[in-house]
Amino acid sequence: MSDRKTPLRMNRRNFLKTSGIALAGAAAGSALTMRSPATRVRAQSTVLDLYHDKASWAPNADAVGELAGQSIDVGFKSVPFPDTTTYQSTVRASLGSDAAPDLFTWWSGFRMEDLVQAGTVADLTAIWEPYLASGDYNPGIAAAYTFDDKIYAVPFNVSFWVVYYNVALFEENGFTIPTTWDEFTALCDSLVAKDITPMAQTIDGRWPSFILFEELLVRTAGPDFWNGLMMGEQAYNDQKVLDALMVWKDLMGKGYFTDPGITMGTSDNAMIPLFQQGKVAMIPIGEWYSASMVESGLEPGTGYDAFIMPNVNPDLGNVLFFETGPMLVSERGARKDEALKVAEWWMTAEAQAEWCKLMGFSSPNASVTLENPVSNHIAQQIADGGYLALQRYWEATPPAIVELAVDELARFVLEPDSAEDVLDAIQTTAEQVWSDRG
Amino acid sequence: MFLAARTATLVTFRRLRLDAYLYLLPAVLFVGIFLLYPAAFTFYASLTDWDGLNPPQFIGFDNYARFFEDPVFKTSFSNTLIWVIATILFPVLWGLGMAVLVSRIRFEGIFKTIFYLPYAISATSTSVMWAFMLSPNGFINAALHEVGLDEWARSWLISPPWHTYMMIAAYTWQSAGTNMVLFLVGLQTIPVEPVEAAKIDGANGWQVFRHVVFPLLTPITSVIVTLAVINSFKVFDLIWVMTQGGPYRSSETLVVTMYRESFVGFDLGYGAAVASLLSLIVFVFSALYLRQIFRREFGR
Repeated sequence: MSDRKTPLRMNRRNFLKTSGIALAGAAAGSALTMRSPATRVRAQSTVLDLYHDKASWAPNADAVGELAGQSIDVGFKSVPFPDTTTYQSTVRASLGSDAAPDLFTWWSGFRMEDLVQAGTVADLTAIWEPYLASGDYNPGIAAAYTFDDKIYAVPFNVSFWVVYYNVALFEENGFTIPTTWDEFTALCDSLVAKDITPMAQTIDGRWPSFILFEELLVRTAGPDFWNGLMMGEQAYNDQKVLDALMVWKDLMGKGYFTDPGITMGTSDNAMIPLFQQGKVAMIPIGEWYSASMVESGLEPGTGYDAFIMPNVNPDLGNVLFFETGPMLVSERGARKDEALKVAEWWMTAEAQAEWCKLMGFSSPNASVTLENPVSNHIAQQIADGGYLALQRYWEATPPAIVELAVDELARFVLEPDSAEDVLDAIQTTAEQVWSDRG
Repeated sequence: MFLAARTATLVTFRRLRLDAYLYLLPAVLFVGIFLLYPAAFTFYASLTDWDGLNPPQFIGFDNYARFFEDPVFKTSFSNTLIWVIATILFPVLWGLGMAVLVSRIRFEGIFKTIFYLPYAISATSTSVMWAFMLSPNGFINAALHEVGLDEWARSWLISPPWHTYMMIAAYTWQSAGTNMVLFLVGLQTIPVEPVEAAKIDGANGWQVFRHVVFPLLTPITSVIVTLAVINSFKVFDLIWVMTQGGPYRSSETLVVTMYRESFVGFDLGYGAAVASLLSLIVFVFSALYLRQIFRREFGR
């Protein structure tokens, strides 16, 4: 899609700030003692609508919305959409009208750029200022929502991208968490020898095809090349990208992955049962997937735990991906003032402690301490290893490139000999998109 | 006196005509608001570059030119053709076969109900059910494994062109029952005399069907075929639920391309161009269908 209006942009400075996000939620802070929302009965004067496409998160969001009502007299309730495409088209259509949602979730970086350009979302910079001054929130998160020095969202969720593993399976077989690429491949070989599929991989729902792409590319070519590729300064048909795909092809050839047709939750979920039964040992995915694992009966820490995939190239520094889903306030919403109050409250330790406790997320507010052992392990690994966090592929580069790339990468997964054609196709679109943006 | 009477008659006549138009008004408004206006707006949108957030910008027929140059068009159009041909071959022929079979056996009502039952299930439920059966660990692969045909097992929904064939199978399973009912209605209207005359002349069962029954079914067959073709252009829910047009857009049809460009890529102008082209094709077939109906009903 051509880019008509360009006053506001996801520029390189913002992108690099985003990419430079260090640990969010790892810092220790005071644990908050809170009463259960169910025990409070104070009436709330206003209940706003929070639109989102995460239906399974709705009960927890509503619980936090109830808490908001008790704390600031403005609560909120979910309006969940079961289908992402329907959700996106509905919200986009309503944003320019008086029927705009009070609050809604979206995608950060380049994915929210057009909403900002169209003037449909409120400027939340004033809400952020005290938190940036106190250091409770990492500026990298704000950078993912920043356009022309204004911040247009608060973080609905922040997830690091890790490798979940089946704890019981590892313990039964005496496997340890791999810290180098050689250890990682040796682990996969051991699993294959025991007739256990080392890792889940799917193209179900299109987008998951980028998971291994980003992990293997950044771990072979490094973060500088990655940042350049995301901003159109490097080419997809560069030898470094091809090398990453060859590593991927080699792993597929060795039988390290599941059938790419297995479902992972976009329509049905075959991935978690296979993981639960010990038929698949590891799932590389974002931390938000833990909610589905807990829902299926897996206990954090004892049922599943997580580690960060080691680098293929040992000379590179430690790096991992993160994603942050923004919560936005409609500029034309009928209850914009109340929505701004909720957005401000959402940033508080009170709100984040409750939300992250219910969801099993890492907290972006550094003053919150959580009891989830998996989140704490990840936070510890990030802190110990001094990891550099990069924004995941979906939001890190213009959507027109990503939408084509996920289809082409799916082609590569199914036809591993098509690597060069796949990269050429993505590069052709990338050149067009960057040229249109000027 | 004469003039006054004539004026009164004219006024009454005009009033009568006005009344008639008033009776038509609700239907006209309904069609105008919910069909004609959206259709006209879609065509206008197809001439614009529009992302749904910013005002549309007029670009003439660029979206149409772009679509014909787009590699997706070739896949999407050829898949649509496969659907159209397969829809004529399978749901219609199976429906005819079931109708002939059911009309000649005992417990006709039970079989009619069994064959018609899939139509009572929503397309989305049918899609979810078939997707589950066709998943890598699903029923189909398990059954193949049980009978020793492991090499036939595959990830059906991500393997072109098998995904399209399997979706057509699901569609056939669901829609053939309706065709069966329509053919049964047709069979009941066939007079007994020509069939008996053919039997007396020594024709066997197949010859009676081929040379007497099937020609007499021509009016209903043409209606069923035309309806099947129109419906095949519109199949969306089944494809979207089972493959979303993937992998790598290999199972997209025109209607899926339209949806995807409009609501996934938010290229609403481009999506509207695909919608306009699709509407034109369906309109041609609908006109043929209506012509057939009018000919049958009014003899012209």
